[in-house]
Amino acid sequence: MSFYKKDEDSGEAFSHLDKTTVIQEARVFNESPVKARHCRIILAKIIGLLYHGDTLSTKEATELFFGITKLFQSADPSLRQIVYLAIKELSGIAEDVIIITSSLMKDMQPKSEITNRANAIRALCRITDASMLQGIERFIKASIIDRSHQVSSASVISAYHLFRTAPGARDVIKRWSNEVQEALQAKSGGGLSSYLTSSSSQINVGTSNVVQYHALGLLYQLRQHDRMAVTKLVQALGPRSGGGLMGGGPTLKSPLAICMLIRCACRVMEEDASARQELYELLESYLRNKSDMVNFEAAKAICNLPDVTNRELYPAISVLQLFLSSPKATMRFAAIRALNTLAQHHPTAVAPCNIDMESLITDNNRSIATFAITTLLKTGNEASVDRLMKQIQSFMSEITDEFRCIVVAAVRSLALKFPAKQQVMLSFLSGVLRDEGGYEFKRSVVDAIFDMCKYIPDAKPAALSHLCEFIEDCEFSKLSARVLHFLGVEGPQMPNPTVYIRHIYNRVVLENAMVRAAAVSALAKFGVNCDDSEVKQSVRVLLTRCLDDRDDEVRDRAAMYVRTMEDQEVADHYVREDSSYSLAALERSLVEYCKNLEEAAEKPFDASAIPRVTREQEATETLRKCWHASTAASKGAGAAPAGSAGAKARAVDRQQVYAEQLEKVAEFASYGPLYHSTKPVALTESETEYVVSCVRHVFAEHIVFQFDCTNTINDQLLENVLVQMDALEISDEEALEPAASVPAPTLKFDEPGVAYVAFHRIDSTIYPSATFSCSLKFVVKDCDPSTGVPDAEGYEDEYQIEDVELATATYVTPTFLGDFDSVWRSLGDDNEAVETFALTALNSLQAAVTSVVEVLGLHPLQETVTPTSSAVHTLLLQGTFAGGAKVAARVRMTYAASSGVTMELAVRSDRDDVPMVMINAIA
Amino acid sequence: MSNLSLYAVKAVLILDADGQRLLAKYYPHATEFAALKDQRAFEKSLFEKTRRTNICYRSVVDVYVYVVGVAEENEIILSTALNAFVDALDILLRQRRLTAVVYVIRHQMEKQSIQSHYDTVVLALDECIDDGVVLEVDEEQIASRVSKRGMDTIDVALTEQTLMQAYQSAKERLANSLLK
Repeated sequence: MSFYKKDEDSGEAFSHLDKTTVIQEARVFNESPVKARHCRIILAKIIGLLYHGDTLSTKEATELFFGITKLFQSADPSLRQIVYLAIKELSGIAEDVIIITSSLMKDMQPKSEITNRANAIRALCRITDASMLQGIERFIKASIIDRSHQVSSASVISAYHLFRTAPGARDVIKRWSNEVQEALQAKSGGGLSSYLTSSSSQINVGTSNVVQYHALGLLYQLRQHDRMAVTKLVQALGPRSGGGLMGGGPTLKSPLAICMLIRCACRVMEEDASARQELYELLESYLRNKSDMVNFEAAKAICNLPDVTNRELYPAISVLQLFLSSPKATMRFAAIRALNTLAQHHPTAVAPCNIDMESLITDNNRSIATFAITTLLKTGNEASVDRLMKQIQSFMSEITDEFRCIVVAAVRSLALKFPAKQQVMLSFLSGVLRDEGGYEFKRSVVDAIFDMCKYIPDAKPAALSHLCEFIEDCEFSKLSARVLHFLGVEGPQMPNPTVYIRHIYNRVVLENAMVRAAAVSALAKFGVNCDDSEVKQSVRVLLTRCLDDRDDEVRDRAAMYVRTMEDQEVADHYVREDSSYSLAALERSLVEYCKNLEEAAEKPFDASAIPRVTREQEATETLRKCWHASTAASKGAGAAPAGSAGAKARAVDRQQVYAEQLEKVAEFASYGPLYHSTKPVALTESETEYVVSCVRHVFAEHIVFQFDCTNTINDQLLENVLVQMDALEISDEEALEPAASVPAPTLKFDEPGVAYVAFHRIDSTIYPSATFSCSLKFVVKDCDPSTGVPDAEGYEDEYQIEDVELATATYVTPTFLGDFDSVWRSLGDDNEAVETFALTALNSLQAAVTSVVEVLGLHPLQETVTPTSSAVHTLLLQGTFAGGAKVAARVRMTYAASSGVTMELAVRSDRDDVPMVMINAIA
Repeated sequence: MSNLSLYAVKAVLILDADGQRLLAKYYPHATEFAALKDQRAFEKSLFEKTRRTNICYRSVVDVYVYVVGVAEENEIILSTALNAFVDALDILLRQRRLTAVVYVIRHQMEKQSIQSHYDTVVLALDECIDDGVVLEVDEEQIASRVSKRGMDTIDVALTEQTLMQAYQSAKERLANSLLK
């Protein structure tokens, strides 16, 4: 059989790999002498199986593995290399892989061939574990500082993997720090020595010095918890320190290593503001490095600096601007992506690149073009909008839905930014709405039009008629229903509502049940909200016709609305309501209510304690979410899954999670329902040994402090973790008595645990405020670093954490009760307290607003949060106190430079003691 | 947050013109691709778009080579790694070409040749990226570290007949490519 023929065979075989055949063929491993070439092809087939997505059972893998061990008989380097690879791939599946250790050790000896040594090290570290590591430590240490970069790289990387995967090995690896340091500098900085010893210069001819990158990565990994050490590392490796007279620090030659250094520098800058100026200069100097990779990394790092100024950004942006006209697609892409992210917060800084970006719209790489457009939309000024929109129009038909959504989101935020350009935007949106597209895409367009209606009054008539046209032939029932609802909300206020009624009624005639039901509800809104009696009459006729509908839901709705329209008051309540319940809170209370069926049979569900939100609040909330979604989307479609999950996590109601957690604690069972939980407060810095944060829960007569603790020391196990709270200051000594303390039974490394301390308020009419000093008490057990098994004996220890406050605001739930004037009036002045304060320390009304909101814990009405005048302001607040009492507060304040802020605080409530408690919170 | 670990690469894929896997290596720290099902779904969407963010790809003749990176990774690092890998393969597969001049047409980097030299391809990948860490970015270095396929002891010398065979098949291929 010929050489070529054989190649052809193997090509065929690789395209149709079959597991059983390959395992059969692997029997040839047992033959002696070893047929190197043949075995190599079979090993490649095994690897190919895995790389094609086939899975091997443990038994199959182990059998193959033992077959492979026989191949060490052959010294053929071409076979040996693939043997290593096969060992690595199988080591995760097969058992007893450790038997091969000695064979690998033999290959690691300095006299072996370099490639063999490097590969043997990499394979060995895959099969070894923490307990074996000490045995081979000497070899690995020696090979880290080996003359050959290949060997050195291989050992550094292997150490890196071990450090990450085997926590037990960490202590051993930490001992290699000096060797790693040497790997970082020896052969790269010491150009002299490599010229003198010809052998080493030969070995390293043409290397990319990539070992520096690996060494730096590992060093950072070893020292990441030690801020000082990282700072020193960065300073030692900066470009100028190496070129000084002393020539002390090594010079980084590998561009990859410099990128890594830049990242470390950013980390230091984030944590330590004092180092910022010096390190900024470092980053800036890297902008002029000869490697593109480094230039880009430095530019990106500067763009990501916290609170970066336009002046600091300038040099970075000019580098990115150069990249924009690079012939390489990757560089254009990288630059435009960085600029796009930056434009989110610093549109003016990016604006100088506008001309370059406009030329990228026609780029044949569609993702570059999309990023260019969305960036331009963010940076664009009013004058350039028309031209830009025209360019996008032609572009839209060429890209996929995913990209179209991104573009639509960008157009939407632009429309809100330049209301004067609404006509252009609207005609663009209605144009793309007519294009073919999937649900997600259509939805984003409809959402954009909704927003324009809400925030740009001028756009309303045209937008509504576009929407009417859209539902004429919309294939998505869900979207039709939403549009109908929207028409119902907005339509009645328009000058000519009958136009919309005609469109809506057409849906009743032509569509499926879901859309018909939505249309009926929309019609009813016209019936109630239009003042014209003729319109009312015709809506009534139309609704009466719907009473014969085939579908229950449609019929029921129609019947209800026909009835409600007769009574203005009922109609106001059910059709025109302007606030709704906070859905997450409503759900939780209902679940709670349904749990206790006996009680539920006697007592109706009490909805009054559930926080209400206004339509306005809801709208801002949705806007915020949309904004998040659009930023996540434009940040990169690649990160999309993570982004959307993050948004969801935010939306999950914290309170509900807490209620569920507390329910599981037996001690708290008798406390009744949870009224309110505060936001978590950190009681330690985030990088201390034990990280603790505190949440306060308010029950009818109890306060529960929840301490979330995390143990960040990997060789310690904490048991029986208890929080000791001592009152430092308390407004009323008698008012609080300790009720329970629930320890966290164990606190393993990196696994959060919870300890609780509960207090009983003896007199339920007194709401004490207090400050507590807190410390953690626990039993420490040291763990074996390699196995993680804790010692049997432990010792007691204590750890001081920051003080915890119990303030009046803790008892307050910020809720929206309704229109302020009506709430204020309905509460009446029977329970009112008024007090005047002079706040000399505050130097602006904004500061006063912020601190009053914080101290009282009430919900500020949105329009009163930002003072419009610098001298006089009225802040309106609402909320509920300790789970039931309604509270409303009016804060009138004045500001004069000479006397600071003077304010009059008036509090009303439906319970007589509450106003004084609130006033005392300020005093 | 920039990526402070050395794990820059999540996966390396080689797909053919129909989007079928030739090689798919997902590294253990890429947890979102743990299940085979997720991997397949990802490859499908990837192939359909072949332009997703932070994925560098190069299409060579009739295969697509992708390097999938961590989202915030420096794109230029990824493309350097990709280019190093592809160029190293190119060097390796071209070396074969020199061994048999008649075979010029055949040995480009294409699906067929990747399949017939699968051993070389996987070794090159192993020398380029080690469990998600970029190991070497110099294509010459990578190429020099990958060993050639050895000979079995019984390998036949190049006889006249085998040369004729090679010539025949080369002719056929040439004809085919001209007819295309």
